[in-house]
Amino acid sequence: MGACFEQPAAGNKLALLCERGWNRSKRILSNPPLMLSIVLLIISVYLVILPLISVLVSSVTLHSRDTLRVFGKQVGEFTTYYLKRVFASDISDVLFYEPLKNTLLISFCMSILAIAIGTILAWFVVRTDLPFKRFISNMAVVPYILPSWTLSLAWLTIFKNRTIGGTTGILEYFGMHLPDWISYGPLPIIITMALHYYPFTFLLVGSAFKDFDTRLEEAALVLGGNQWTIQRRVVLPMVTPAIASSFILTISRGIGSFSTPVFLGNPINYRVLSTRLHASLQAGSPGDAYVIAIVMILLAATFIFISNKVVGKRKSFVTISGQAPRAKLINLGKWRYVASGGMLLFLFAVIVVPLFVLAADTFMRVPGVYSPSNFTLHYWIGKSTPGILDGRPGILRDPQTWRAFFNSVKLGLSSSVLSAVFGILIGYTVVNLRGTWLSSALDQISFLPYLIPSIAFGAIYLSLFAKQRGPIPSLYGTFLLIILATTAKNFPFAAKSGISAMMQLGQEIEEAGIIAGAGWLTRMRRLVLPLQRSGLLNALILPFISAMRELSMVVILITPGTQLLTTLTFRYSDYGFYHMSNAVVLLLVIVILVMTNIMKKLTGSELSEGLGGN
Amino acid sequence: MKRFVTLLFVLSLVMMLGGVSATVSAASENWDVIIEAAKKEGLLIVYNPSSRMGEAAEGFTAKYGIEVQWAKMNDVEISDRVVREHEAKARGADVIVTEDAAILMAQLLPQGYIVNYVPSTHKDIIPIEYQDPLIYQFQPRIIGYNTEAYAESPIRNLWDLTTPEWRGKIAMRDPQFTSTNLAWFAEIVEAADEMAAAYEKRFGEPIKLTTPNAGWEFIKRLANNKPIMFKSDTDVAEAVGARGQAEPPVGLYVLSKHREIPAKNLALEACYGLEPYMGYLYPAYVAITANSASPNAAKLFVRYLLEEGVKAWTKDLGNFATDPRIPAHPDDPLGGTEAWAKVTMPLNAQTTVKYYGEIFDFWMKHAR
Repeated sequence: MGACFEQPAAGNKLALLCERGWNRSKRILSNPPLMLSIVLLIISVYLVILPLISVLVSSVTLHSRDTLRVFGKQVGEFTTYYLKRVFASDISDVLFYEPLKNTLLISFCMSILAIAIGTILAWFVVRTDLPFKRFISNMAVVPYILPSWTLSLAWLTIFKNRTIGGTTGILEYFGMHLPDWISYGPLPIIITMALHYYPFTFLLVGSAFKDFDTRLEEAALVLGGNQWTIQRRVVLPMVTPAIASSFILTISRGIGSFSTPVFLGNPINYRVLSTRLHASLQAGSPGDAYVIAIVMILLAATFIFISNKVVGKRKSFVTISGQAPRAKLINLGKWRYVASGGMLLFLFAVIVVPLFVLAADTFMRVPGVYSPSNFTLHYWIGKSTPGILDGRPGILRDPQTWRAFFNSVKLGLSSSVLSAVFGILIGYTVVNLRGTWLSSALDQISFLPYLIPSIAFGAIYLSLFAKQRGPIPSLYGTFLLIILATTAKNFPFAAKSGISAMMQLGQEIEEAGIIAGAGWLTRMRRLVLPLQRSGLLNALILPFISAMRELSMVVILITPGTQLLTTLTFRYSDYGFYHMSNAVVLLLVIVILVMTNIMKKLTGSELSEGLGGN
Repeated sequence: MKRFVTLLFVLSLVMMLGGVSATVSAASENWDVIIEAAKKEGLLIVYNPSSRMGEAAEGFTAKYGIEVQWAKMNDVEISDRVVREHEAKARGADVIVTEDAAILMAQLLPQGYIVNYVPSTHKDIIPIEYQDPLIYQFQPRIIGYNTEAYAESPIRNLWDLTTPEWRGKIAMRDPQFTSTNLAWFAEIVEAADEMAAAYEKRFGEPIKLTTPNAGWEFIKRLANNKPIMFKSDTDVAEAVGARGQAEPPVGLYVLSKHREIPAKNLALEACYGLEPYMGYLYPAYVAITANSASPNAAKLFVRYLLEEGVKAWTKDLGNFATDPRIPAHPDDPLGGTEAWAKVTMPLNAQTTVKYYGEIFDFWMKHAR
């Protein structure tokens, strides 16, 4: 603007334009939500759109090592080499088609299994007079709170066979010879992933069971249907939309999931897209990796798109009249204790047993030998001994562990605070500017990271921030990069909760503030934020937990100086130091459980809120 | 035509290596000044693929009081990090050790990310052919067998590995992530005539080719024979040498794993006399990064590695310093590098570079 006023000699037209522009910017400056939305738009374009463009570019430009493969081209030149290699070459099967097939197979089967488990649990907890249902309901979500590879490590500790060398699992130690298909590959991956993801279904279908209009069920009962027919013909169709959304949610997570296939698939070279992407990066072929990343994004986006089309339309079907009377709980009779016992046994098997097995393993010098002389605290507090684990000390004595611990906490705190602030601000502007293109652009862009599988997101950030671009310095190897990536990956969740919180707030309150003469900052500080306190707390702690157990995204961004607890586990198991990785996982589990409990105390809420209560 | 282009490319590359590769001149170095400056720099960061670097690092710190942060990584990770740190101008590695000649010769050196440095103290000692780029030690990676299951080596010829008898019973590090295994394949292709002769010796008839030569043919048949892939030499040695196995595999692992035989109670021996070679001999290169924040400490560390640090490796069987004053291990079955270079294939950087573009894909295609 300044330049305009310094040139009074310029034509009338220009002066007019200047004045118009000046008025316009005055309007923007005097309208904090508008200004805020522009700032947020710049931030989200920078952290979300730019990375997406960057990955597209990276997949068609020549990388420096490949000058030995593609002759006559310079580094950074345009090339279709990677596209050809991945989709139509001698090794396309290995690089792409096999992993694609495996990804689809695993995601599909795992989702079916997860939905079966989640639905059955939800039905018993919500619809029957099961004893201990509150306890069961609280425990049922724990597998999702734990890092997803906890179960994979426990599986290996029990079922690992001799094929890949090193120490074997407990069963082999007792003389059983396990075939590869039990120890590794699709079967264990499907089982352990289903056991991690079923809580999605449990929560979604559970609340559908709880909310639907039970008068339909009663009508069927009056008409003389028997209980089984009613459940099958009336109740099940009513929760079908919830089941469908759980399916989409689960399968789209399955497509991107990395840590379970890495632990259980890599030993026998069984690869899915995410682990193939990682392998390509490790083998020094980033071009191939970026092509695979694009495919993964398209796959996940397709599923979300289908879900919005199919499930979105039928949603009206789920929640019918708000005032429906509570259904009578189905009387299981003498079976109620059997059912309850069965569920408790199941939860015991998927929560207590794996954690116990991992814990026991860390106290055994030689795995599987159950005698007092084999007991050791070495892996926890031992001093460095040459010959044992490359002379590494026990994890509690190892400064590396503590560095990783504080890095994890630092990452959790900073990324959750940043994304919560972002969420509240997005919510505030989107709601305030409802109906404008700015509002919907912000809404849409902040949702985009949801479509991008974590490992692809990590790969994208690596490609984008490895070099200095314009005024922005390279962030490679800095902790800031990891924080930024984790925060941006959290945008969808943060924005959704921010928007819904602000919707509830209503504008009258702020208008009242305006009338009372409060400035924008005062209004935010004294009215908006205090009212959002409990929502804010939730918006802080969930991202904190998910940042603490994040592996697939950060595994690509981590450097020796920025190690986290999760990546430390991964490193150790990569070296074959399973004792150490088990011990670090346990440390992580303890931190996460403590945090979850703090969350409960602070907000007085449960993840499985109300499902089992009466 | 394609061949001609390849040849031209390789030639130009070789010329480039001769001309461009920057070697820091070390004609007159004042080590007192370097040591003084190194101590002021205070911190040294080392990336390398071996866990025994820890011992060398500790020795260096004890001697000069300079802190060393070292990290164990594979070759690809090292080169990726060095390139990114260079471009980001970030505080990163000062010294790198790598076993991947292709990355070094085709990427890191000519593109100026690292410089080759030979300390003045070692100019006249390290054989000249090991100076550009500088090699500080050699290791044989050999094929071994289980002595509990077999009284003598169950294989006599490399081509035995392609027979149905050994299908699914060959243990090795996954070539996808092991640059030296890929480099060995390149040597095998280069030695196609010897491979053809060995084939005839084994089967009594000339080889029928489905690929350009007997070298490629061997790699294809080896890949088709479903070798079991491992992450580390430790895992391979254990898979081969663990006791109580009915049908143990043979495997390709570094000779130095024989040092763990007593501690782990392994039944392990090398397949001596294997035709035409019993494995390969690979170098470990050491270099300084171009943007090193501690250039003097880096120089001092290279010197230390050559004269003392390398003993962290050579104190055990199966590692050979390029400094001839550091003797081979007294228990070495053959008596030194020269002897090993005759029974194994020494990896040659030019050969690695020549086939780099094809080997990986060829292996991936057939090893399914």
